[in-house]
This record gives sequence, structure tokens and C-alpha cells, in this order.
Amino acid sequence: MLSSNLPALGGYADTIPLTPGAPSRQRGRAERGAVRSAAVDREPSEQSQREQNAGVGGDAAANAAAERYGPLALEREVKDDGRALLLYQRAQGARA
Amino acid sequence: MTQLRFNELRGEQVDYAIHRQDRTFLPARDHCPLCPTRPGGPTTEIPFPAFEIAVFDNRFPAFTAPQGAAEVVVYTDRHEGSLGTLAAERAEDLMWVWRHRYLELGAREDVEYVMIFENRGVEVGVTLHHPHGQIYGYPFLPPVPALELAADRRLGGCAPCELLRAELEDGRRVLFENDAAVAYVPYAARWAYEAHVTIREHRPSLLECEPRELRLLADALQRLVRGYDALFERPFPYVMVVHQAPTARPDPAGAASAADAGGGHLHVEFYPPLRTADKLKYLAGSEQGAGTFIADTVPEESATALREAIARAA
Repeated sequence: MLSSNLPALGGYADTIPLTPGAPSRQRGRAERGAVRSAAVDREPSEQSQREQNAGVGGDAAANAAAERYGPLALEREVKDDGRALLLYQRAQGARA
Repeated sequence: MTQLRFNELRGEQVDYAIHRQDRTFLPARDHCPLCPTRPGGPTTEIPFPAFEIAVFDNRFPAFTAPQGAAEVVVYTDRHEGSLGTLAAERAEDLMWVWRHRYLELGAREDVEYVMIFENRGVEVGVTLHHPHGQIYGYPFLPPVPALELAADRRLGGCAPCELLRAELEDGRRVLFENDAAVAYVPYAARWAYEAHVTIREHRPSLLECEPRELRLLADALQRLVRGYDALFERPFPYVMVVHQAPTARPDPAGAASAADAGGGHLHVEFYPPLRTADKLKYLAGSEQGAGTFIADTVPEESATALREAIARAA
């Protein structure tokens, strides 16, 4: 099994694969300790501004979870057929 | 769903994804699956009336878990336009989205190499015109990044760093530069108007970039694409590929990072198929049978033409 070159898990331990059920390397890397640090840690989660979508996305909108990454807010959705959908937008007041 | 077979004579994997035969092919604009879902309109891949950047699992994937990934990245909810016409802030945000996907896909056990790319134009097989790109998470290290790692070993260090140094020293093929990135037609370009945009500092991937570098990379990519469109005064087809460090390495007890392992330097390569305004370069006998490109132009002349086009587009 190959090992990862990616940054340590510190700030990303709660990120999940886009595809539900896809195996994640993160647990193994966390147990092995820091590999290297990401250039910029993810900012704390906050509610993003997508009120305009309410009522159109149906169940998908109800399943949304807001996160932050750099200057972006992102929401994770699950489409009706089970495929994942990520929506990114510039967080209010965020500068890269 | 997909099957990998190893081609012994070529020493490479072939991916069989036969369900892709049925993928959506050049739909009418009002049935574009990458547009937002308008009230009263058909449901698209994005069931919302507006969005900025959307990423979703490809409905017709070349790779799927637990053997890789295939995602679609939609740059905008506007059907018209291109990477070059995005607002500067949106292009910058796209760099962050790429970075986030590299991070998450690369963390997966079944992804050894993350390739972010864009096919633009029917000339390179585009089936949807809405501005978008794709990401493949390969469950193995593909031949091209493997060749780049071999180039590192051959040159005794980071090959893109050395090639960038040589291009800047020569100068004849440099298209433009900013504080973070340099665009140039490479010395041994295979395509008539091939161009590379290389980060100046040794950054194995987007993850190591400072926010300022991401912004300047986005600016450089947009400037090049606008120049391409000005070259023949038409939307310029290309394949654009983001080259980064593999997300897995073969030595678990080895180097602490891709940089330490000597592999990977963030750069973006463009492979445009046009050799004139209305003639395509085809991969024929020599290219396919021998692996040797026969070029109809010299990179120095292409660079001159591209510099003039980029100036016109500015």
C-alpha cells in the first residue's frame, strides 16, 4: 500500500470524501502523525449565505452542511441519485 | 462499472468505462445539465437557481470509488463564457476549489494521483459547452507524471525548476510573467501553441501556495486563455492540465513530503490542437506509432505570435 504525501490532518480531520463510502487515507495518516502542514489551515465552519436556494433544492438543501475553506464557504449536498454535490461561494467579507 | 487492464506492450493501464458511451452529447442550450435549475425549468445537475462554483461526482465517471474518482467542476452558473472571461475573483476562487479537491481526493486511499483538467472545444471532444473542468483521481500513478518524476531523477533535482530557469535565461519563448508565475512556450513543445504556466517558487502542489500565489496563478491562466482567443480571433480549443505532486509515494518510511521526495512542481500545461486558424494537428503515424511528435512550427515563432495576441487581448 502506498502512503500519502498530503499534509497532516490537523485542521482537516473532519473533512470527508466527496463520494460517500470512498475510503479515506486520513485516519491512517493521523495515526502515523504529521506528514507536513498545509499552507493554510481551514477556517472554522460558519453558516454560509445560501438562503436563496431554500425551497428549490428540496431534500438536498435540507442536508446541506456549511464549512469554510480559505476564502470560500462550501456546502455539501447529496443528489437524489446519491452522488455528492459541493457548492462553493466566496464567504461574505472574505479576502483570499 | 469500470475495469482497468494493463497493456503490457505499452507498460500502461487502460481504463474501460463503457457506460460513458451514453453520456450527454452537445445538448441544446436549454437542456444544459450544468446550468442552474431554474424555477419551472428542467432539473439539472445543480438543483438550485443560482450558484458560484459547483463540484459533483461525474454521472458518467471514468473512475469511481473504491478505484479512484471523477468529478465535474462548474466554473459559473452562466452558460456562456470561459475560464478567460470569469471575473478575476471567481478565477481566484477556482484555484481554492482546485486546492480543496486536491486535498480531499488526495487523502483517499484509492487515489494515487489527482489530475485537474479542462477540455475546451469540440476539437478536443468536449460534449458540454458550459464553462467547466474535470478532476480525475487515479488509483495509480499515470505515465505522464511518472515521466516527470523520471525527469527529476535525470536532471538531479526538480525538472520544472530547472526548465523554468532555462526559459527565463533564454527569454525567447517567455510569454509573460508576474511575481508568482511565468508563462512560456516550452523549448521542446509538442503542440504548435503549447504553453506552460509555472509557479516560480518550488511548490509541489496548490497546497503549498500562498494566497497571493493562487491569485497570480489565476491571473496568469486567464491572461493566457484570453491571448489564445485573440490569436485567431476565435474561441481557442485546448486541453489544460494542472500538474502537481502525486498524492501517494511508494516509500512509506521515506521522505516526509512530496518536496522532500523530489517529485512534483505545480505548473499548468496547455495543449492546443490548432496549428493554424483552421487546421488541426492530428496525432498520426509518428505520434501514435513511435511516440515522436512531428511539429509544423518552431516554439520561438509560436511564442512571438502568442505574445502579440496576448498584448492585443490585454
